[in-house]
Amino acid sequence: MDARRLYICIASGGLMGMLLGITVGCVQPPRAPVVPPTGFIFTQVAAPLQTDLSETDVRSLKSGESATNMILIPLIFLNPQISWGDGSVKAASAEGKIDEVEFADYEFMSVLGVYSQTKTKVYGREKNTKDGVESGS
Amino acid sequence: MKSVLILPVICLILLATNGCVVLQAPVVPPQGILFTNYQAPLDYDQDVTKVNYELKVGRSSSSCILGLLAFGDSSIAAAALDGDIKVAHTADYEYTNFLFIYQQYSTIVRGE
Repeated sequence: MDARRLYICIASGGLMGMLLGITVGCVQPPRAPVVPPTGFIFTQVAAPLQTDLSETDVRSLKSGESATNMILIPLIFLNPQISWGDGSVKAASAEGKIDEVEFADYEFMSVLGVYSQTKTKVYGREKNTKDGVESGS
Repeated sequence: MKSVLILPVICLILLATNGCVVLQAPVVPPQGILFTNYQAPLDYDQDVTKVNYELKVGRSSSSCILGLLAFGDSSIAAAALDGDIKVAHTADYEYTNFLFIYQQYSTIVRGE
């Protein structure tokens, strides 16, 4: 391979990498206390949202989840993004009918950075219950 | 023909090394480019934390291949389930990286 073709290959490879980097939204990994390595093509990972575990009850508790979604429209250099959803702890605890939250995890799913979903998962119990089960009183 | 083959390789190298697949955690020690394997604290609030050797250990992991595919459940809930832990006291994590070809993140929960 002569120098000119090598130069063209490197330049086009670099350009493709740049375009991929720009369009797949790799500049937007989830921001959380813990983010495991994410993939460009597909990511589905769950990780801790809470890192302070001192005396945390992790028995089979009730769980609830809430989610936010993001869609990126891949136009080069202009990547309009639409995001929506309520991924709050309050929404997750309301979904799971939880009154006292013990700990929380999150789940991140991404397809080519074009669509991503971040779920907040909370674990806890209802009021006047033990282990998330009604006491019957 | 060779130029057609070299392009995906260049793209892969660019993708793997452009810093988009870096781990985030409360404590991240320096990492090697060729090989990394370490454990570090996930729970750094050690106020009256039980760390005796009778604690059960639970582990949950997620993996990333070539910086392209990432999958796995490395949550606290999965780690507690793995170790049959009822009350968690502290948590660490383990990170392994071999040339960005294979990365593994593990949450390690200790409790009773």
